[in-house]
Amino acid sequence: MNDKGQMHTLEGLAAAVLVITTVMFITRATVVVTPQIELALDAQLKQYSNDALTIVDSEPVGMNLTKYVAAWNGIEANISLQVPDGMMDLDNDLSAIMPDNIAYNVDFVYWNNSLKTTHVIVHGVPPDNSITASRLVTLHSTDLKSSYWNGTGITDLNPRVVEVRLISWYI
Amino acid sequence: MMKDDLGQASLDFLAGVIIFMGSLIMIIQFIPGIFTPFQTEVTDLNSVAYRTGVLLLEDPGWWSNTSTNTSGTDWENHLNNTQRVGLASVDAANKTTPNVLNKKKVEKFANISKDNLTEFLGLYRNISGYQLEYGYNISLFYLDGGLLKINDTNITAGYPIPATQDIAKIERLVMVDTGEISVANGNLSGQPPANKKVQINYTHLQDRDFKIIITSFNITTPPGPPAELNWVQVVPGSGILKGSDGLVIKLNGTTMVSPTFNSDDNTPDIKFYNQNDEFELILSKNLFTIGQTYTIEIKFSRIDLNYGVMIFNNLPKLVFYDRGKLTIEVWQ
Repeated sequence: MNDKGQMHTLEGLAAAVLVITTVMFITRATVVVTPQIELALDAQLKQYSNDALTIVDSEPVGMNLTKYVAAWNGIEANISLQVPDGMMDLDNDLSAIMPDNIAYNVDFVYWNNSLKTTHVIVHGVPPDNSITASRLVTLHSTDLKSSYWNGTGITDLNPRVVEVRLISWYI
Repeated sequence: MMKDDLGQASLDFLAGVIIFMGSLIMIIQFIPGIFTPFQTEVTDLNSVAYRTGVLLLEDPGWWSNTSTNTSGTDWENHLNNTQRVGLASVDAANKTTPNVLNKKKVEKFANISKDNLTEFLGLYRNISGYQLEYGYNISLFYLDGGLLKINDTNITAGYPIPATQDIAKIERLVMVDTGEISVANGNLSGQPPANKKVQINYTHLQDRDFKIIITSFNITTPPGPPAELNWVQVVPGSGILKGSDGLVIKLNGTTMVSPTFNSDDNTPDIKFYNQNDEFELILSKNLFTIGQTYTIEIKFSRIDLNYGVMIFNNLPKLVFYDRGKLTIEVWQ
């Protein structure tokens, strides 16, 4: 029986290296995560959408958001008819303003005997992380309107408020 | 057991001690590293970038002179008394238009010194009385990438962007009045009433399509035959413009399809009937060279033009709003 109590050098070396490597690995693996990255991305997307609607609405001469809404002829968009005729100009304007890595849909929400939410421009099905920005426009009786709006009974005392919803997501 | 009283350290012992000391030193060296995740790091860069964006775009700024007890939002005219910097323009009724930036404010903004700008925008933190400043870079770009210039000044403020740090970035979309104002000089060429031309003198100073909007027509005796647009040409240029030359015509917001024009009066033209018809001509930037002056001639028929008098009532001042994006980057 060997009761000397010595450790062989090589085994000792191997054991020490193993223990140290394990301890190092464990301690370096701790990372504190600040979960703010997703919030920042959402905030940026919301800013883009709000800014895009504000810019289209603030156009001093030419077409602004009110005129685009007034030119809508009542045709609903869907996946096969993505941009109906009257909305081509609004679509071109929005796609020029918004960055290329963002896709969007546009809805109009208004009252015509009942609350109607109509898709006006469709570029896809919005995924879970999409953002909605809204802007309200008012159609008065003196605005130049399409035949659709003229048929909804907008008078001097009954202007129509339309909510323009821009739903956007990253692609 | 044999007593060994030689006094030498055996090789085994040496090897063991060396390994032990080495491991001890290595472990002691990275004990501070265990506590690294608990050091304070700035986690609010995103909120600082966001609030700076809001401050610049939605607030017109403020100046205040306590000795004369005056104050106002036009800090660009009172740089010595500026308290807060903002770029949003304020219209005549004192109403702020967010996202629409004022040209003079943007220009002065690019010239403020870095220390003053840190103070005006609040880009610092106070920790135990010691002020730690954020590094920042705020620049205005065109939508397609180039740096926006006003009067030859690059609109950028702050420090160069570091390559090796965490940066929080926010982009805002804006409209900037870059100051290119052209007022259509309805100038009759002195021809007999049958050939009524309007001439617009235009110097092409920016790389954008030239848009002409005409409304409030002085149309005589409705309901008669409608007034007509016959042709448009640019001098010096290649003659009467066609749709393929980069001419787009819109009537009340609807694009007229492929206008084709000849030099006589009988071909299909654009007709307008009402005084409130709004008529938009967009001439592609490819028709012009930057820096050159052109004359744009528009020929109408059946419009009552008085010689030597501008016939378009309430002609709007065409202020070109360039669309751009304001990029705010903040780091520690």
